[in-house]
Amino acid sequence: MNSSPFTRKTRTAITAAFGTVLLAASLVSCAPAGAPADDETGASEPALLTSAKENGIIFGMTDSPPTTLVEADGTPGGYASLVTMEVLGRMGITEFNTLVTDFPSSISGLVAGRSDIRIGGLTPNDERCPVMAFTKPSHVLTYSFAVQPGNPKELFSLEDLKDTNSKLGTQGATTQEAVAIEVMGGDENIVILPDRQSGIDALRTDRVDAFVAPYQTLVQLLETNPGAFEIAEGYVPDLPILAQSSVVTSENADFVELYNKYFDELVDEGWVEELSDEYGFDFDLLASPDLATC
Amino acid sequence: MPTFWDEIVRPLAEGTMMTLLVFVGGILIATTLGIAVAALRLSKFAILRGIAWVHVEFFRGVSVLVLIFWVFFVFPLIGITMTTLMTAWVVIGLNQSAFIAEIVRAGIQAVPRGQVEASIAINLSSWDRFRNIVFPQALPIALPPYANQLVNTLKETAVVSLIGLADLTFRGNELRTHLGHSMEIFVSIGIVYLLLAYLLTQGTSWLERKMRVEPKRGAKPKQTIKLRSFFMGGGIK
Repeated sequence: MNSSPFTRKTRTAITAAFGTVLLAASLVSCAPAGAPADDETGASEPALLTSAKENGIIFGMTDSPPTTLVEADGTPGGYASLVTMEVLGRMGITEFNTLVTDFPSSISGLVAGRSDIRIGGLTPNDERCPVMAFTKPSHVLTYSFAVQPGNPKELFSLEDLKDTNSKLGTQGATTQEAVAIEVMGGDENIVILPDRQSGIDALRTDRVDAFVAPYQTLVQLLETNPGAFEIAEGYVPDLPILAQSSVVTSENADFVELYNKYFDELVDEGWVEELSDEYGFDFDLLASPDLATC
Repeated sequence: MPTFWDEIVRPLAEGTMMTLLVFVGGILIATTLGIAVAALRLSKFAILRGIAWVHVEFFRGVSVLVLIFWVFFVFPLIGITMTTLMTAWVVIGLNQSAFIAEIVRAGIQAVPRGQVEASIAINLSSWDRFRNIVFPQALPIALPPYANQLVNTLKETAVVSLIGLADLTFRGNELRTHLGHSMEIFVSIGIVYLLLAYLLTQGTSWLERKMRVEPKRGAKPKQTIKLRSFFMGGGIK
């Protein structure tokens, strides 16, 4: 007489589940070993580099001329793209693809593996450093205000905006947003905009009184929006100068080490300084002790 | 020297083609899945009805914007990675399938009960009943709201620009970033969307005219003739 507390069906299910677990365990234990350790075969190439040489590399970026943009033929363009492509070209990577999103999504895209390297400019901070590996900065951003023609409210700093209860437009998830919240005592007068052209449109339609962006970007926007705004005199004193680096995920730190080596070569050759001058960036600021690092 | 064609027209044309590609793929998935879910909703088995109910409530309730970010940025973290285009198709297909399922279900349930009972009485199989009695009467009822849903789907494809897919909205944003002239560019892409929606509604209006069941004044449409001859004589061929 069968005295088991389980029915036949239950016993079959339990046996099948146990067998599945055993099979999975055996498959995992039989799986080939990972890449050999460095001390076994000598210095090995970073995994990201190997993959990029075979399959190309995907730039995560925003469409923010003159720093990063996509040319009409789909190739990456802009200062940061050119620097990165030059460095990566020396590393043996020849195929470049792009994933263009807004600023917050470009970071999510990197974390999700949608892009391999986020170029164009991220500033090291406490939130980013633990999860990302930063290259040496390719340029430094100084920020200015775009204001109504004539700057009627005389807005030159974040303190001025706070004192006059004026609205500031800025892109979201950026260092300038964080600093603005701190200086202006909250986000009630801060309007988050998806991109820089939207900042000018918001200024034009009186949704904001000032829009903060890198000086070089405002110069480019003035060309495409003549007469729509003016650039307030001087840089915004409340905002720090911000080093702009490319980033990969932290597990690809070995890739960044190699990247920095080739980047230093370009600096020594004067290539970076020449391109910086062409795009209006101050190359000397790269040596500034005020730059935030990890 | 880039021309007006190279700088403006070609990018917008390429964006329009991408929008149409996303739309067609998305609506094919949505319609197929929607009909299947509608059938489940009408199933005699509670568990199937429950599954369909969960599908409808979930995909009707979650914003397509949240869904696309979820699938594109979060799914890869749990090992599910799709290409950008496939992401667009899947998200739009799933989201719209919920609405289409309800449209199809409402169309089927709007067929008079007497029609179904009569077909049961003359011993028609479920499939013959659906194919010859229910579907021809449900289709003209479901077509107008389905046409609305097509237009909604077309407009909703704009969300794919947020994951870097170069549709019409993405191209428009790109142009205004590089050239300024926000008003002119937004008006242009608005006109393109309007034209595409108009073509859709014209197409579905034509279908509605062809599917019309009620006779026009003085005319006898083919469907009523077939139904009448079926019940008054001839039987199943």
